[in-house]
Amino acid sequence: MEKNESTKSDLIELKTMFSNDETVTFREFCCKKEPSICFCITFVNGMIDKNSIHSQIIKPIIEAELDDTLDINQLLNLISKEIVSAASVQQSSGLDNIIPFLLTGNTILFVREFNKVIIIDTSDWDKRAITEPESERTVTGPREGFTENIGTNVMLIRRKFKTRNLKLEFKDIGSETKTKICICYIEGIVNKKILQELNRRIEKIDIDGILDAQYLQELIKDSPMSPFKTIGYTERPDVVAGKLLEGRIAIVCEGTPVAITVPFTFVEYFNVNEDYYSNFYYATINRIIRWVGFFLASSVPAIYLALVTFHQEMLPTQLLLSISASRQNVPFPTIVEAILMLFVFELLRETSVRMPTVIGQTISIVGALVIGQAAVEAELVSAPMIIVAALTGITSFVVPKMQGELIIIRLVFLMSAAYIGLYGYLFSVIGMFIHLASLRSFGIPYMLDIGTFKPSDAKDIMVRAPWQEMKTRPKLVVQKNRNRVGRETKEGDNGEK
Amino acid sequence: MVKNNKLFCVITMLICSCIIFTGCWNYREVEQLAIASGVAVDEKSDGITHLTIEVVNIGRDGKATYEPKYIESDGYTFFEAARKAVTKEGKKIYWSHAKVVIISEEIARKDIAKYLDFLFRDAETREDIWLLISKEKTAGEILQSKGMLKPIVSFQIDDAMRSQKSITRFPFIQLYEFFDRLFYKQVAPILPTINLVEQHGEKSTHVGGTAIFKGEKLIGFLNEEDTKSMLWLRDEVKGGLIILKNAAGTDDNVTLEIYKSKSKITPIVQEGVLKMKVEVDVDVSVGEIMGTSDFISSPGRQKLKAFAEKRVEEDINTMYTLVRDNYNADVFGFGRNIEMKMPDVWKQIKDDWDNFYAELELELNVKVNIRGSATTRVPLKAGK
Repeated sequence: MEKNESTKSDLIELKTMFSNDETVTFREFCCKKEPSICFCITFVNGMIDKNSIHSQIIKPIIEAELDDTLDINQLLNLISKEIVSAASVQQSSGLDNIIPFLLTGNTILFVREFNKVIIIDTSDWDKRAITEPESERTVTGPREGFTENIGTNVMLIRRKFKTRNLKLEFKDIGSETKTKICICYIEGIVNKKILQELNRRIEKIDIDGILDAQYLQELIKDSPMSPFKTIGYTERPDVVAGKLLEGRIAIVCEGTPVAITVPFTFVEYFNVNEDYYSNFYYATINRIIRWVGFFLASSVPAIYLALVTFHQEMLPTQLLLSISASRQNVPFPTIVEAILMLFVFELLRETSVRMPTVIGQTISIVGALVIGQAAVEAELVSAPMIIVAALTGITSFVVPKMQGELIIIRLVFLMSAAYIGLYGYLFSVIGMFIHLASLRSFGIPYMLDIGTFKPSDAKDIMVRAPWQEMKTRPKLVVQKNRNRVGRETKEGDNGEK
Repeated sequence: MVKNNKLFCVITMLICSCIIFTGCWNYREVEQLAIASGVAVDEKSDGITHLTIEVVNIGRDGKATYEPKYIESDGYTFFEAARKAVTKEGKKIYWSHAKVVIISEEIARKDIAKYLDFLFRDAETREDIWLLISKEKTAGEILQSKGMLKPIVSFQIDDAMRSQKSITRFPFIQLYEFFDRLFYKQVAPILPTINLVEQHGEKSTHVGGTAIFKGEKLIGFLNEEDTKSMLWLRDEVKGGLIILKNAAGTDDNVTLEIYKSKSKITPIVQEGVLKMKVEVDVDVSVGEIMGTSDFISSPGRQKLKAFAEKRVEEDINTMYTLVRDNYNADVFGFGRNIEMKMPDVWKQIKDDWDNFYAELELELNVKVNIRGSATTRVPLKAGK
């Protein structure tokens, strides 16, 4: 019987390695019948289920009828196949291979002084229950959202697809955190080139830790300096499922309750999952409202400023008179007033996000009463400017994912309007569109199909066509197998004729 | 590559120059503007222009208030007088929202174009201002009368002009249209006139009637009745009333309300003589019958129709002869009509148009269609 000193030293080395870490527990025990065979299990306290260690590992082994004459492989096979009753069991060797398992809640079983160990999955730790996502609420539609646990998240996606075509590829990123990420896609729909490009970019990541999916987003994004997102994110498994069916790729990241999706196009800002769960007329109206909201949130302060300070002739006389009346005695120029009010709004928004919910109400009272009412009465700000700021503020929540971008757009528009009026405003609008048109997300044009008149391309842009009409998947994103319907009969048809 | 660089430079330069060299330069706060609502132009004895500018005085005492304020200002030119007003008001006068320009009769009789040059040239003034001729002694006193419904007289005049559709007692002419006619030698420009009437012991404005120009000089007026007849020949009747006194030989007065009116004006050559053929097609309803005569039954309606047609025809003919013989002014735009429809003929008579016009005959054909009798078929009378 070969005996090897290495396991003994592996165990000792492990003990010295974690000598300052009291969460790593070592427990030695022997078989009742054959006390000469000694075992040691090690696990991280708090990440395991003690009951299952007791009932699935220690108890069966102590009571087992083992034979000292067995050689190491036979013994290990016997233990893993007949004695340990846990669901997931594997054999391994070498400290470098063992430690990652130990630190993710597995129990390591050392047998005598052999160089091989058995890794038993006993992981169980406290995690948050599946709750309704806070940032993407819907009236109808599923209520479950991702949690911080990657296993749960992948499970939530997997549950939607009962097909072998759903592929889930796991990877570890971050030299210190070794964060687990999972790349999900549907084979046969996904564009292989985009998948290759994604893998290439993920391989290139060199960072010590990934704590949130946002890290990953920034590291693999196209045009990293652009304020616009070229990678989507969602808290909802149903949205991920929808994107996967459109041929996109989702990445779930350990510790983050969101999944990111690539490629991302500009219209996805405006498309909400609820569009697909409600009547298509209603959904279309809602989409148009979101586009109008985007226009208002970005342009109202700039247009107001341009009209009031440059193009008074464009206002109806009565409106001009009442704006002029409310501007009497206001000490600041309109541009200062505008920047001030927009700043106050952002300030209120940021405060109410950071502030504990218990005192959150104070903010709305102070914000609404003091800023709104008192400032007008004290003639510090004019009433129309309050309306403009309020309108801008409210409409910027219509497209919640674009809030950060909107603040920048709004400010640029406002400054150029303050410089040369509507003329300047139009220049920055043109500038914004040039920028948007130049963006790409994983090779897909960012403004894909915006402004198209071809019904098959426009079916899911400004309008949401009825499902019977959504016969194809988005072009370019999906190259093969574009047909959503009639797939069985047209197996192998690439849809692009 | 070199070619691309060149293109890039050119485009950059074009964009830069677009941004830097054009656009609306002045950033001006809205409360710093004195918003002019109207202006009246008079001439002082020594040839000095006298402007009365009506400015909206905005107050804010808890609630916004809008009061008229009058700035009087003199200058050798219109512009000078307008600029001098700044010294009195303190703020710059803002002309883009001015609604009316009232010109005194005195100026109009001499040369109206002189005084309109500023309005025509300046970037701030609009060309859809109402231009009116004052029939009072000075134009200024019209602006300084008291508005009946709105405190600001210019806004009230603006409202009155816009309701022209259902009145049809003055021509609906904006500044640009007047300029357009002024440029065209063979057309006589017209303008509405304004005067003051007394109501409840206060003077208020009244728009009605037409001022006829020959070139840039005022040569005469038309009263309100003739104005309506004239509008028929210009195809500008959009509504209004036809009053029939002692309709069809009865003692009853009848009012017809115009729904729709179309005048088809074509030049024709008949036996070598150029004539204007005018077909007026009016849709009316019986709006009022002051009496008990039967104008509703088929024969009664025929009678009323014939009478109305004859009356309108007579009115138009009388007015036409008056305008043609007294003023020899082509206020109807017949000359232009001929130019458009018979360019060859026009070329021959263009230079001698005044003489031609003096003998131009009208072939008038009025058709009145009675479409209904409002909400009742029977006249209102005591039962037997």
